[in-house]
Amino acid sequence: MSKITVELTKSVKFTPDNTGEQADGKFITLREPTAKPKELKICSFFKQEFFKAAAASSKDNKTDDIESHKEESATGSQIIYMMYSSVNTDMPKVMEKAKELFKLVGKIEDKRQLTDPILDSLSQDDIENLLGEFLVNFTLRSVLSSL
Amino acid sequence: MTATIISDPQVTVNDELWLVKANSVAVTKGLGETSVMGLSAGGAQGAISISQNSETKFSKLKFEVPSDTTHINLVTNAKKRGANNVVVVAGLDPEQNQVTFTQTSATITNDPEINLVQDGMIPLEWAGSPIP
Repeated sequence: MSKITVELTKSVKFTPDNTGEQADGKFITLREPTAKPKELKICSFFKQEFFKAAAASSKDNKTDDIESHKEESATGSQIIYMMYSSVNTDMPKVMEKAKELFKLVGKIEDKRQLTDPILDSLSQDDIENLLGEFLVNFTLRSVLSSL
Repeated sequence: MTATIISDPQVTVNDELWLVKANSVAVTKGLGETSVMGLSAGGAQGAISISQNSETKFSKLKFEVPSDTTHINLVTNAKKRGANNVVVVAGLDPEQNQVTFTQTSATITNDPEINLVQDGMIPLEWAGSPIP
């Protein structure tokens, strides 16, 4: 199963298993989601929200939409920007669901499964970055390659 | 001047959030006990000596968790881990000023009594490295 590594802009403290000490977490790994019901449901929700944003974006004929990046591969931040730009996308819900999913598929420093306290200590930029990279590399990979 | 006492801190153990009984959290940082002794300098002149008891330089935490299956398992696992736990107690006042106590090398010192009764709680006593 493939996984990606995302560097954090602001490191966070975490407790590696069975050490009794805290360490600085500088990166997070996210594994590819499976078809387990919870993961499937959240990823489907992401995809649906992305398509809502893409549809609105293409309707408005914005120059900075995903279609305009056909020749180049879209980045995570572009996807997030596009989703935020759309009034049809429920971004607070997307971010909430992202945190739920990261608890299942994410590890800090590839050692410790992500938990609510760890996720709560991440900066907003890092959460958005994680979501963007997750969407580009996993959930929307097939969609983006067919654009 | 008003002092707002922090009474609802958040407790995490090994990066897991634990629910705690309200008003049950107490923190001793482990700065050590200091004893003061009066000395005589003769001629009715007094002096004092101050000494620190290094034996008391370890932190202590106390709180109670509910006797549900989740916390019974969390407590059992933490107890089995010996001193390989990290406990973080964090509190916010209404002005969003935060205070955080991080106890490393934390171990549960008591044999936790799991009270299987209505409103049953598990009192926990922890000891660990001094909290900076």
